[in-house]
Amino acid sequence: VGLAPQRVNRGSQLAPDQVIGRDEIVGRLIDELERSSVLIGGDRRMGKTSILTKLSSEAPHHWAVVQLSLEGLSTPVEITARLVEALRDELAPALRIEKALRKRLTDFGIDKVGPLTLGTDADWKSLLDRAFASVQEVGDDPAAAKLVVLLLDEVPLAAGRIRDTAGPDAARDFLDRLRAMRQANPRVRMVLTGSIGFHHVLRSLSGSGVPSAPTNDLVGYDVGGLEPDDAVLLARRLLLGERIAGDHDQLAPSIAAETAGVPFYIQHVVGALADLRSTDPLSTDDVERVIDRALVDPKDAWNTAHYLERIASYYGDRAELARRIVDVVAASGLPLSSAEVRDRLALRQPVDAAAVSDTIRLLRLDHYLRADITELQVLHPIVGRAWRALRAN
Amino acid sequence: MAAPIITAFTPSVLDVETLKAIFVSRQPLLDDLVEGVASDVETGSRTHRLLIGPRGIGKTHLVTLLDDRLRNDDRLMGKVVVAWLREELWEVDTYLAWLEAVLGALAAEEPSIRDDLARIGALPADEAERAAEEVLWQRVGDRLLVVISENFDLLLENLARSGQAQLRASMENHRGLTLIATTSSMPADLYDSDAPFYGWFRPSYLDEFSIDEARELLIKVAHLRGDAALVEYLASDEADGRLRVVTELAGGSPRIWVLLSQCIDVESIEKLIPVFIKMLDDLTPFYQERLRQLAPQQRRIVMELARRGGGVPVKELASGIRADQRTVSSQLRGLERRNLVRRVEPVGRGSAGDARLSYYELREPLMRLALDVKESRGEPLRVVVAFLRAWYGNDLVALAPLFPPVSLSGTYVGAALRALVEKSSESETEVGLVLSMVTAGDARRLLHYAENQLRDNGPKGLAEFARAWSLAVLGRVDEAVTAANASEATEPGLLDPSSIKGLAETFAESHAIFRSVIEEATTDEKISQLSKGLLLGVKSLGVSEGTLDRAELMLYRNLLMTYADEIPWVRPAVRIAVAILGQANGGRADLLMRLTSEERSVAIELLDTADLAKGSNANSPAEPADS
Repeated sequence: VGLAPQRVNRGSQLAPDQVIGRDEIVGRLIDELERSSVLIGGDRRMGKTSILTKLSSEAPHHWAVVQLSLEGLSTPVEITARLVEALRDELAPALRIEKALRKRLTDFGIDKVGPLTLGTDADWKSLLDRAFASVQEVGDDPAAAKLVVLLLDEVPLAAGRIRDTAGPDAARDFLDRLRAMRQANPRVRMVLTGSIGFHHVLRSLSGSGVPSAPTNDLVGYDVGGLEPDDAVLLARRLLLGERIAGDHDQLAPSIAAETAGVPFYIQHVVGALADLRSTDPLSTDDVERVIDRALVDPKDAWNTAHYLERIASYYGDRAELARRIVDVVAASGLPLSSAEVRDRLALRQPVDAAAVSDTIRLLRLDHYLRADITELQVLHPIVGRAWRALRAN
Repeated sequence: MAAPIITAFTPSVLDVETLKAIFVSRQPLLDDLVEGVASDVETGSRTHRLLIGPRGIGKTHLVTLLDDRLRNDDRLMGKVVVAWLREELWEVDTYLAWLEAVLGALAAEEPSIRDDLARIGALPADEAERAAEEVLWQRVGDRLLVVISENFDLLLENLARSGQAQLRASMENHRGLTLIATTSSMPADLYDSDAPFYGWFRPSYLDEFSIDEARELLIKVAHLRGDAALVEYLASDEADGRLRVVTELAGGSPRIWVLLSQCIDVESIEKLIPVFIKMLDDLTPFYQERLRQLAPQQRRIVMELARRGGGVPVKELASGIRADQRTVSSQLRGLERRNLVRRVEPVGRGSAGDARLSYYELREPLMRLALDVKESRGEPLRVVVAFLRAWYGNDLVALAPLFPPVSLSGTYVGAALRALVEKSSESETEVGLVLSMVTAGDARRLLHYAENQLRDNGPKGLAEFARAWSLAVLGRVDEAVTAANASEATEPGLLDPSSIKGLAETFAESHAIFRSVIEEATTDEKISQLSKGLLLGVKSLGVSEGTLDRAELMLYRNLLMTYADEIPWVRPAVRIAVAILGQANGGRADLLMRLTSEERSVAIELLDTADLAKGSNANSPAEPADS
């Protein structure tokens, strides 16, 4: 009843009303952002950007929101130019601070219309400071006293690229400056997201001098699969949108369960069912088969092999330990406690308990494992199946 | 009436009406793409699509019609602007160049964009990029920009990760662009989880044409040429046989079908092989160019596969090119992603295969053929023989498994066919046609051909050979021996009568086995029983993972042809058996998917209840390391 058909849109860009089942997290983010800036984590394709889209469309009236992907930008100067442009073109009119902004930034060529280009040696730090300080200068105009919310996507990627081109100090400088802006401007909030874990980038920066904690002021949120009811709803809308023959009352719950509610996989499964172009009714067996095929096909975009491949680069000399921990958890039909994991590892060879705990912590941050209070499980059944299949080779 | 010139290579130069008139099989996909854009306009979502298929499969044909539909759909008027980046755009290697290419495409309709482009061209690179972005989004305005991007894999490679990241960020930040891309393979830039476009697209795979689709295409071409006689001819049994011979030669590539559509008619069918060879010759530079783009070791692997033909185990490939097995495995995965090779896996369903046990073969038979032409230029018949060799195995001897009798000496079959090729006094074309029918296992058609020849032209060695061979395959022992004696009398040395007797007897035995399966089955279980019988028969032949295609051919050709017309439920039984074999030995889930739901349930039951389908060398999937 009232079920809106929706077309499969796998991994692409959704309209806000197509983002299903994220009302709760968006509601919590809206509450949280009134108080604090936020860091959203989650594996690639888990739906972080869609959450930003929905957050943006449901922002309260007293917010001024700008969304910017930092992917493809590799220097603080470039990023600063984009941020200031957004401030000038989108926020300043809403905040009625055009004049204040112009006054502060005339010497940076901000007056010009169109793209803002800065020299590679531009003093980006003071430009950022001055640009965002003007946000605080709204005078007595209550309509202008808005909360500025910057939704910054792919921040760890940009930080990693700055590290690679200009060194770890420059990357740390950049992240520290973002934090300084948050702290110096009480009416500025940021939502930082990224598809690679911040912890990897931060770890790679901490080697050079004073350890910094450029994200310790952020409240963390993790994006996982949809709640079961929402997952079923999404599956039903997609089945309807793709005009899939078959009993949707059976197909939708089966898809939701097999994919553990991960929207990317739900989209994929319905897309693959649509590609069968069957006029015969499809069954839950077809769902199973489509998933089986996706897990073994090297040409398939699920590319579950990355779960195995990236361990080497993420975990360095603990890679083998990390692999064995996931092996143990994936092979177990039941959730295991950390101690049980340690015991099973020890059956083969002695283990360093501290290293095991630390690696389990990282595996959770990297979305290999999830923990329900004390017990560990592989995050998604699909990850578990893919892992077992890959490790069998 | 003058026929439009149909070029097989560049559908983009044909007029849209002609392309519409010869559009086959992909209408639902085209409709789906148009609806996707309409839905993006309506809802604000952005659905990026990827059309994947080897060269010649019809991608450009499809996007040409897509471009036309998007420009003429009333619902999209004023709401959509289309930029089509055609396959010739090799020089786009930066995000800026991409922006300029898109603007260039838009300039066809809005010429004043050229002034903008000139202005942008005069700026330094970093400023030019931002200026081009600004112009683009200004020009697009509130409309949805649909970019049709051909050869997207090449574009991604040229852009490198940094350019890809810029392109994706631009799509995230502006949200005004829907991308419809085509690619001949799935490049790492799309499946690597660290790549900007990982998981970004909804992929659709374009399959090769079935015989029915090919026939539909040829009928459409004939209509277009106003050739009513050809339309009628294409519906005949004889045309059906010829289409199957062509399929043997050409596979299911629409590009080849379009090319052949110009010579399939009654007069020119006899010239099929020369035309085919000419076409291979034309294709050779094209494939050589593809080879040139590969790393040296990948090139060696492809050449080795072309030389050996059929499925080759990784181990043999590695020793063949004197390389480390693990390196070869990883190169093969790369080639697989480039859609140049495909893997036949030796494991059960639902498990990833062990690459070390896998067999690989070239994905496009045409490539194998075209490369072979190069090596035997000037000797057309050897090309045909080489084709057959490449198609079925690495030597004529490898043709033996095509035929049921285990006891039959493979060397004999090879020797017999070699003798035919070397000693026959007939024209190369005639010999080639007979060879096609022999290897296609189509005994009835071969017999029909032989008897017509004998009736029209009197006793001739080749026709006698064909008659004896087809009677043997049909299991008609006495008649086969008589015919073999006649062949020996007409053209000595072409065929050994005593071997034909052995061949006929073993075939007779196989037919008896299958007949008894057919007769013993109860009405309700006929299909299931027969499928089971077929699988047992295949298993007894020692069919394993690497010979899947041969088993498939054997089942189809020798049994389907013999019984399918008289016994209606043979066809589903064979389809089921082949699907089970494909699923169990090759991980070919697609075959199961093509069954009707009733057939599928029989197949699944058989898969679940018995170990029938596993080849003799197949291993069970390995257990996880830690259980």
